[in-house]
Amino acid sequence: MRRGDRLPGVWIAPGAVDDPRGLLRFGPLGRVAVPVGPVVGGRGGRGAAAVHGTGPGGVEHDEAPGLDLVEAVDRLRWCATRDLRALVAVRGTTPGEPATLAGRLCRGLEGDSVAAVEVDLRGADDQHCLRVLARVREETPRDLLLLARLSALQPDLVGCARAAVAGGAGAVVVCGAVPLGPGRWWSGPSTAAVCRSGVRALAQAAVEQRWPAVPVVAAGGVHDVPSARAVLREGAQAVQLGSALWADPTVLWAVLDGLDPAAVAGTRTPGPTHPDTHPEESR
Amino acid sequence: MTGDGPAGPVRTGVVTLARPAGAFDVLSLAVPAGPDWATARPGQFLVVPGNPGRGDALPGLHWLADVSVDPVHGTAVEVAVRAGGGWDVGHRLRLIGPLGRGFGVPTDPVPALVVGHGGSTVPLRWLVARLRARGCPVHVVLSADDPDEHFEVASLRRLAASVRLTAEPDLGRVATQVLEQEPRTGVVYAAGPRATVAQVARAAVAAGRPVRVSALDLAEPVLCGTGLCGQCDLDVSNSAGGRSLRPCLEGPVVPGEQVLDAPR
Ligand code: FES
Repeated sequence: MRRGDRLPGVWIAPGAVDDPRGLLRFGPLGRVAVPVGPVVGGRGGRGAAAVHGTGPGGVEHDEAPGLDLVEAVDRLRWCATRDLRALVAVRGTTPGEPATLAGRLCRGLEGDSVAAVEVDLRGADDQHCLRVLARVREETPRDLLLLARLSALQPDLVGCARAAVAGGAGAVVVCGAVPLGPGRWWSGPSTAAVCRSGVRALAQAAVEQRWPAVPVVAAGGVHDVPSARAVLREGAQAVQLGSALWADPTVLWAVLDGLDPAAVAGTRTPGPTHPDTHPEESR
Repeated sequence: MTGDGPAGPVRTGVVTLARPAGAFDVLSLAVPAGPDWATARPGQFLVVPGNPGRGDALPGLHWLADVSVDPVHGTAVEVAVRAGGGWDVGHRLRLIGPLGRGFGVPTDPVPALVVGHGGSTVPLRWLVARLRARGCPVHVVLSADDPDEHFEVASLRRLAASVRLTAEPDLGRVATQVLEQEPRTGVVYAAGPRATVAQVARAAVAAGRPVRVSALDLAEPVLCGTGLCGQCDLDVSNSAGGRSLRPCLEGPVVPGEQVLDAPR
């Protein structure tokens, strides 16, 4: 996927689905980029974040421990052998680490499967965003799409988005997860309003020409077609599905179909197995 | 359905019967016929998707208590839910399943030992019935934190050669006793929390018997059941060479050797 190409409308959040094999049982993944990561330096964990509890509308969880390079290469190989495209997410403890990780994965034998690289910059300031993205840009193929993952709640969201674009980001992911202290987050449908506020702020800033607007991906609280449409109306060009897939993995195809102009125009019939198309369900 | 929309085991079920069974309500669901029902096994489970729009961020997971496939009367699936769960007759719901790998029965009619704890024993009556149909004499050892959680013990007593009730910490010891008293026992099955099935697996391995355990405990609070969340992961690096096992995807029924020293 190249910078400037039309952005796919639906993405899968790398932290929420750490093993795409589960998803593949419910439908083909040809229409989405399979998440690989977050990839971290040193020894990663197994990818899945510990969940501390659940409550109305969300789950309280740790930061995903991340995959190490060896595991990430394995996952990329899994994608390559199935002819699937991957979204590689990278996270680093130093400004240069995400670039090193992304570079290694893009240059490796399975590099052709990398459709885009997402860099986790939640909580960073604008200078850090610029430095990190610029390094990642240098280490990855020239036109590869880079996404900057920012928090809707970071103090200078617009400044960080501007810096990320200056560093080479072709899209910005606005994450609605609420920080609950170091390494802890609240995610789920209840964060939809947080995510929408971030998307709105960027849309408004774009109108005022306070940043050179690139497509915005809304990541937070999207759990069905109406919630996806709601955030698109605020100015996002795409949505990212995360913990909603834990509740129901088939939401992925429901949202893909629901946002697909061909399905909307009636040239494709939406899938019959999701609540949006199953009014008889009573629970 | 679009050319590549969700396929796989997603269907709508209707509650046709609900009867109380101690701490549980046993529900019969009429489901559309499908080849996976005919091959369903005890140890497999159903996922009832959550409804994030109404605040349910997670799905509900339920063991299959029985499956009957009848070309005339249709396919009926039994699940057990906590008593008073609000699943009334006529209730329609989306289901994902049957998921996972269940308990297989031996090809020869060898005696079997079945061990279980609490709500994880829901599939065991069906397992024992299948073992009996294969001609296997079955000994059952059960424990529960609450006596009401002993699932369908009366049916088990009718089917099994013996049923022993004990406390959870003693399951391994009682299993060892049964294996000593029944030296011809050819296979051991266990279902329960991770520590419990590990305890039984150790007893079976020590006695030199093959053992199959269910490595997924549906009583754990956060589970997706579809292989995405990673919350069921079991670190089996000590016993099987540096990897983790995702029971809802690769099991839940696995050889007991895999959970022998799994710390979680
Ligand atoms: S329960 Fe979510 S991955 Fe197993």
